[in-house]
Amino acid sequence: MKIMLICAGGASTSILMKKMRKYADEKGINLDIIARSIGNYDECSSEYDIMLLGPQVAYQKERIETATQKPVTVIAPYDYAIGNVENIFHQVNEMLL
Amino acid sequence: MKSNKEKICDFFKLHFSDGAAKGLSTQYLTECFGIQRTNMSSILNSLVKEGRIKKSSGRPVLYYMDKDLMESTNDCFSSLIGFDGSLKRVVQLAKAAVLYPQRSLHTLLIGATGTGKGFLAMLMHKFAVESGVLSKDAPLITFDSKGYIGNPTGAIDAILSNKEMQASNGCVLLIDNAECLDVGARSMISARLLEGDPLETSIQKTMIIISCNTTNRNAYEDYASKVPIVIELPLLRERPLKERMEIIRTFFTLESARLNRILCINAEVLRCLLLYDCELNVLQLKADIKIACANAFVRNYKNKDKEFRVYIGDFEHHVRKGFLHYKAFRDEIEQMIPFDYSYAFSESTMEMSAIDKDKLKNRSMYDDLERRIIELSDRGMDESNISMIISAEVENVFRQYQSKLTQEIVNKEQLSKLVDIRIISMVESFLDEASVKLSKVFPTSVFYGLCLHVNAVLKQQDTMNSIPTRQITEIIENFKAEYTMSLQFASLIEEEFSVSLPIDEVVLITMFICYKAPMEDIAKKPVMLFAFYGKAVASSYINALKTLTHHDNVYAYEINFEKESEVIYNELKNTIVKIDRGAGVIVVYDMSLLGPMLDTIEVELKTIIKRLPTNITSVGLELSRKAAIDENIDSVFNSVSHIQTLNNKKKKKIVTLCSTGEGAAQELKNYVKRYGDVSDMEIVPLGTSDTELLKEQISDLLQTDIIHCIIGTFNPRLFAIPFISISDVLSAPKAALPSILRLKRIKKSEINFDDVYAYLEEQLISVDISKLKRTLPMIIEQINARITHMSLDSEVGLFIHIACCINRILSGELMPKNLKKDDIIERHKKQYKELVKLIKPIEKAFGIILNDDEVANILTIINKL
Repeated sequence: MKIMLICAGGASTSILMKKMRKYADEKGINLDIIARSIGNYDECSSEYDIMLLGPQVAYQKERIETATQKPVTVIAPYDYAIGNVENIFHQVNEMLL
Repeated sequence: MKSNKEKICDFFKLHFSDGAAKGLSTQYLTECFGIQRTNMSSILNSLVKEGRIKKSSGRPVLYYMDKDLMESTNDCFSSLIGFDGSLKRVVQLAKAAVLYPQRSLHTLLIGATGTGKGFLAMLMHKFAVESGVLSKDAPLITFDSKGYIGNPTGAIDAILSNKEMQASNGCVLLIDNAECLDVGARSMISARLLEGDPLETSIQKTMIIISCNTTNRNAYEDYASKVPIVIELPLLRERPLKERMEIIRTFFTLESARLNRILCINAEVLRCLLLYDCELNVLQLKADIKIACANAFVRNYKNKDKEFRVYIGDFEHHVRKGFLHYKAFRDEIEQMIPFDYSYAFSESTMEMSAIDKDKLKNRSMYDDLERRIIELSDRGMDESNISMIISAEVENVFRQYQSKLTQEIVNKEQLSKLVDIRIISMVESFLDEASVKLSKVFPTSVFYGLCLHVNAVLKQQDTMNSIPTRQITEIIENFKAEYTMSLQFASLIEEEFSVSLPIDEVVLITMFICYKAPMEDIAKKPVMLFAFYGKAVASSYINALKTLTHHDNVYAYEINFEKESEVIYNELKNTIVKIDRGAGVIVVYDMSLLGPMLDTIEVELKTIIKRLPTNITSVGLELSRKAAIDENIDSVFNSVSHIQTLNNKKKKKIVTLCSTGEGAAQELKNYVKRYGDVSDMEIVPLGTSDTELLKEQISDLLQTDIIHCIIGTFNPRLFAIPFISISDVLSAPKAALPSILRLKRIKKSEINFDDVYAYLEEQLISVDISKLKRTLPMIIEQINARITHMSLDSEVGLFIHIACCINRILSGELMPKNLKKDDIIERHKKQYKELVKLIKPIEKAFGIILNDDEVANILTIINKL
């Protein structure tokens, strides 16, 4: 599974990224994940299956959808704020399946 | 016991007391009283003979009681303050309970602490004796439930074994504080007392009154279901001020009798007493007055004068806070208690006497205020309260001055006879300029007032010159723009007439243009809000209205369909809050979407909102569209004739929208229908990607229906209709779908920040979380308050974002550059400056600097760039 996380500066998604990696390792999920900012996501977006947005950049959803032609979804604010990785994976699965 | 005749007479009084017009027939009365028809006829005839009731000619004969006949009879309730006002219904019910034929009805009294439940029970007992329902020596037995908490059988046993009750031949039993009894005791009281267990002989002739506090809802509902009459007493603050005044008067006269002194108070004290929050209602009012009188008595103890004064300082602190509500009730209060009077209470009366007016006349109108400021601060009032009271007073005095000035002037011609023509033209151009700059319409009264005022100043007739310094600075600070303009105007006058004006004068001129409509206009009258679709439509319209009417009671709201409906909702709500003068708002609107919003706002704000939808915009759309394709004027014209009639039958619809075609939209519809619990709404599938076509279809739907939301693959951003993305619908658990469709969003209060901090603590090794707790929430709040109100998404995201930035800086990681930094900062200069100020506490707490790249990132998030 290849996921790109996008937020304003790439900082806040990177902590989430770490947590998601750890979770994937534990659960044996094959995960390729990267954190980007809204300024530099498009260079390698084609390599990823899905884009997850931090709630602070939710308003960019449509723009990113058009630019990448990939499924894009906004992480629920509360899940994002507490790093509820399980819910986030659930969200991703529902989008991809 | 009363004779049947008296009972029937009472029954008539009761029947006609609330203005009932229909007469009573013999048949009806016979049934009510359960006595023989012949007996009834003879009683009625004798009452007619005595002139106590009247009978109609014609058949069947009906009997009436005249109003004046009723009013001539005073009973003990007429001593109850509010018996013909807020307690009218209460008194009616109480009488009905006592006078009910055969036997008095058990009654439940509910009300908050101190609303007078006990007092009413006492009056009911008195009334029962007075009206002959009970014998003269029938006792009022009070049973206090408080002693039986946790002892359910004890209560009922104690009541049933009451000797006094057993001995009496009919009495009133008051079960006080009945809310204290637990469920068991309550059901026993219901079963054995209220339902009239035939075995309990001692209570057969007893009227039971249960007094129950509203705090325990279960309790009073239990009783209410068992008792035929329920009387609810209103809170003190729900009753009219006039009645509160009466109550205050009564308590003072009581105290006066008790202390054997005449008590004097000034208007200020009376106002506080009328306005402060009386949590324990009448009871507290009574206690507070008693305490104050006692304080005053102690002070005057050695003084043998018959009269002494009770000062505001004698009252508890919370009474003094009554001032804070003064602004809201000013009109009503001014009418009731004119300012320049003092009040003296003796044993039996209240006297109002004017304070020596001549003394007042010679003083400048602000001398009083200075004196009062000193007085207030002497009494330990704090600064902010004082300035609030004083500014209310200043405004008041100013308004009086202004209305006095303009009372006699009717038109410009008259004005020109009184005032130098140069002044008129100067004032005119000054006000014109001010009305443009301040976007405000000045009524003619301001114009006349200002002309006359300037005239008076130049002739040095009026000595309006000592405004308290405190007030001057306050006005200059709060009304900088107005003050600057007034300063320019003043210098023009100084030049023209070669005089010099003191700063007080400039401030006075400022007050003229800070004009708010005078009280009598602004007070409690409804206002109109015009909410129209499109840029400047509504505001142009109300400007036109204002020019025609000169009334300042119409407001505009522009509906911008690019805005999210949530934004529109909030803006609309805020507008209504701002413009409502207490008598409600009539909203004229041309977009059906506003209808349900207004309903919700009405409930949320408890403001009266009247809705007046117009269909001008839909008529326009329809006509224009039809005219573009049809050349027959009749058919174009007829195309809109149906709109009028359809306007009221709005249905709610959900639109499912797919860009790929109707098939997918249909499937989405089926899914929503199956899991969404939306049987009250119709679902309309639309399949199109052509925005123009879609716009047409949607506005067609809007003519007859309300579109609750659009669900689809893309947001068409039309008419501010709420949009739900298809992925949100499909990815959500099915159980959550109904609430998503009802547009319920997660609220901030549902976020547990402890979990958030725990997550951050675990992830952000370099950040001291306690410092974060101290600084970050406050900053987010301030951004919300000072810069822009963020959605929950942005707020939570920004919170995490900033926390992570701090972590990055502290751990020395490389920060990404924001390429658009300069552009963003340039375009949001003001916000940038504010933001830099706001983030200072973080920089200080963590010893870091958030550079412009970071600030630009934050600006991007909060402005959704």
